[in-house]
Amino acid sequence: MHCFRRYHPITKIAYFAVLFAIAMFSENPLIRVLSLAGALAALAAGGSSFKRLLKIAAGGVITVLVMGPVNCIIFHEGRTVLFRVFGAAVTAEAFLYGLSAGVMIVGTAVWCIFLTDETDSEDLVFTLGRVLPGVSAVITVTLRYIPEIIKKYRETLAAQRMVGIFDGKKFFVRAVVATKVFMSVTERSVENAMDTAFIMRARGYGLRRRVSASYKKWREEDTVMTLLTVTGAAAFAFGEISGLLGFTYYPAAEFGSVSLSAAALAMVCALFFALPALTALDGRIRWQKSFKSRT
Amino acid sequence: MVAGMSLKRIFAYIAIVLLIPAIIVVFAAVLPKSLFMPVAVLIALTAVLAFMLGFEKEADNASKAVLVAVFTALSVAGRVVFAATPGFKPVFSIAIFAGIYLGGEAGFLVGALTALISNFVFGQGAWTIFQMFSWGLIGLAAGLLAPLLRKSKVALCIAGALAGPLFSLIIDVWSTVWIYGTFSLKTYLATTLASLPFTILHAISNVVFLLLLAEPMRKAMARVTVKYALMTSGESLKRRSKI
Repeated sequence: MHCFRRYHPITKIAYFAVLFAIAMFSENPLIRVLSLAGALAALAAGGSSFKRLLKIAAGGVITVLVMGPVNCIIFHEGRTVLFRVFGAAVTAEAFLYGLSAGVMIVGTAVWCIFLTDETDSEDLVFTLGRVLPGVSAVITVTLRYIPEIIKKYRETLAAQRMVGIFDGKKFFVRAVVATKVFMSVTERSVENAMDTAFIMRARGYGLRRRVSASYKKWREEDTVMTLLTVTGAAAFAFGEISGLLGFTYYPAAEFGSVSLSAAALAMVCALFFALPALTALDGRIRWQKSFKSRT
Repeated sequence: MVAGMSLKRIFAYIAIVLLIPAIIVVFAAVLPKSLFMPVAVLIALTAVLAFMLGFEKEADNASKAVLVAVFTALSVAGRVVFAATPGFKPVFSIAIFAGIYLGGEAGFLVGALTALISNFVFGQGAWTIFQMFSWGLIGLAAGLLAPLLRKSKVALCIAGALAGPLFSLIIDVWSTVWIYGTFSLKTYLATTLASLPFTILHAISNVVFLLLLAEPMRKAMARVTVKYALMTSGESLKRRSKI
């Protein structure tokens, strides 16, 4: 279930901009862990298969485990010296920083997977269409051509294979044939493009006062999500400026503040990260309720 | 005039290209650690948007807009078709050809849009902005060097071989900041060394694709030029914008 696809592109842009700002720029390991947990929950609630989640988790664990020692090799700051390698100190603080950076990288990467799942080309064209209409038109035409080019390439290659051009040939010869096919597709596409250009011009392309349309409409739930996004952004900004959500790694690892207000701000951030998963859950409950009421 | 661009514009682009690394280096020295990453992202994003806005007027020319779309589509399709061979893709070479035959701005747009659109398949992230900027810059540079690259295959191969390291050096700035949270020569060198195998692979694949595609691409563009009464450079396309 794509829980975020139904939102308006502006709502999505606002949410993801704040999300990436918090996930990438916060130095606090607690916020980084919450971000990673939220990202994994979003993917799971979004209907990702167990196999996919396992694959992502395995890659994530490896990254986090590699980052700790790598940071120790490069940075030697920190009070707690664990041991020395060729005279250089390997410190617990550098190790913690590496692990924390690893969690941030994995968290951001998982959010990027979620972003890719939940956005489509319509969002891109809608967003750019207002600011860069010309570039947006180019993107629209490009999106029309990509599947056509891939399909034509595969068809031509299959035809070449059927007439036995690849039979018993070495890799280099095959590569040359594949490139020739790619070139023939290129020539065809370029010529078709010129015909398209004539048609576009005949239909008034390039005239002023162009209009654009999108099937995405602003709804009540977009207002709610935007308000929640603003709340999350404000909480994080307040936490960073006041130092409540701060964290220092060197010379000794410590939280900016261990207080009730810091915990409350962390809780708000946690809820912000959990929004996609909660949205998906809400959608699922509503669906089941409506299904039951019908049967 | 080079590839459809006035001298003034060329100087403006060179200034931008030199200014961006200079700003990043200055910020690395001046800014607090926590602010460096958002500032780096903002600088790259601003540069990409500036180039895209520069293309807006040219996008009114239907033939040029559609040719840019086709080159981008070919580049994205190439990245997808060669997905099984990481680092060995025709993306650089198509951005270079776009720069040579359609002009520097179109070359930039082809490179930048390839990153933006193909990352819907390969994964979007903050790195997308840096990929857009790096590939775009390669297309722009090809446009600026178009007269030389059109004449000599050796120059084309050298440009392709240099494009790989140029891409890696820019992307590594981002990777360094992302991984270590700050930018220093030591961390940058560590990241650059870690990505060395890919850098070499990029350089090799660029030379291979440029050598294989140069002649067919020249013929294709020559054919279109004759058939549709266009000329090969961006300058000519601009002049004949009535088509």
